Amino acid sequence: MTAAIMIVFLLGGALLQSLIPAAAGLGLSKPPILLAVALYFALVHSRGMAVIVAVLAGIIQDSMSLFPVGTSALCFVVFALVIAEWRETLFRDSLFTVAILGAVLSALTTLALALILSLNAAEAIAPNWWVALKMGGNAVLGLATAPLVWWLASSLEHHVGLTGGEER
Amino acid sequence: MRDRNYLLWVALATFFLVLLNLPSSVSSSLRGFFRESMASYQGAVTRTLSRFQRGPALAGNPEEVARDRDRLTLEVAALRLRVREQEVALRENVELRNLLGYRARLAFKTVACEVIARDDGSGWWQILRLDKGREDGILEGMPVITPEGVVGRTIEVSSQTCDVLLISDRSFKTSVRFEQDGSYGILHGGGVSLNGVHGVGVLCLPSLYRVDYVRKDLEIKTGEWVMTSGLGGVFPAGLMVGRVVRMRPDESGLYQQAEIAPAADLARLQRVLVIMSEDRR
Repeated sequence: MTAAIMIVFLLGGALLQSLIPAAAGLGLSKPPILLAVALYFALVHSRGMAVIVAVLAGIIQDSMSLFPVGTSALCFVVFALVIAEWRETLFRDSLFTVAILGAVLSALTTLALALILSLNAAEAIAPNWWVALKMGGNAVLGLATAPLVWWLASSLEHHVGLTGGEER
Repeated sequence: MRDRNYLLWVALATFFLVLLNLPSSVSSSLRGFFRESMASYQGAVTRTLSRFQRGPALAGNPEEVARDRDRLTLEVAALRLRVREQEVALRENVELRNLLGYRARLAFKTVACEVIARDDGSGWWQILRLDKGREDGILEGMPVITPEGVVGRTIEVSSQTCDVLLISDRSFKTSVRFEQDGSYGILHGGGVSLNGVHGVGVLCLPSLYRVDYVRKDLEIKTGEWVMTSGLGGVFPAGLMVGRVVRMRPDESGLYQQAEIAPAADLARLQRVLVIMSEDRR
């Protein structure tokens, strides 16, 4: 059942993320739904499941963009492993914690992707101010998206009788 | 236990090494698989939203009116393109007759496509997804246009869909030519306007394009048309790109720089034409 929920959230998240228009005023930021799904599984499920979801979410995100396949997956997996390691010390059932993590991870993902792009490209793909704006924009959208995804996923898991959370 | 953890880390590292270094054919297939999986849903949502947005005009039989409207829009688009081509051909004809009597400009063979998604999933690039792909003869690097002007070029093509990198994307470059004196320059996309209109079904408003390396001694007037030069092997010559908004000296002082207002309305694209070849139909 967890696998079915994972697939629903990954595919639904990917579809929504591709269809919701980017916010021009926030540096063409998009709601980081796939990152929020990876974050939820890192906070609630076993480390193995967290890694699998992070890899899949990253590959799907890369498939929708021009990033080399695996770039976002690498970022998501690193974050998932760090979160899974430290989650016992976090107030992981608090929406506030999820919101802050969503904001921080979205901004860090943007920074990491910008660095990877600048390493690969002959010239900067975007000016620094644009990357900074995009980091801020992604943080704002991550702040809003992560708790929403967390709430939806935990409600669904609760509804179908999955407790989650205690696996490790 | 420690050994097992060590092995898992090595396995994960190896997996990423392989994933990040996949041959382009494999990563292309992987992208294509995910793109195709989502294309039908994206198309359905985009079409539904589009129908919803033009709802009040669909009195009577909505399906039929919508079909007629789509068909007529395509016909008008094709006819306007032909008129534009003929205008350009006429101008060039006069020029060429005056010079060497070269052959007349070729018409293009095109395929009409519907936009099924706007933006890429990450928000880093300005991309459109179209509802036709390799099965319809579309390949990577083909020019995409509307009757108003250049839209972009195809970058990722799978069997039934393709992605188009818009001309307004910051990474887009192409050679262009000023209409009046025929001088050349390199056009760069300008990204999007921060305060541009955006919403579901509407792409962000593009910023002005920039043309670099324009000869300093030329006097280029505001409002002059800029068109593709035909150099570079992607775009045929004579496709409208935009109009000059202002000229200024570049930072080095050796050239001029032009700011160009887009000819095509990139914010509200619903249908576009992909140029398959320059052969006369």
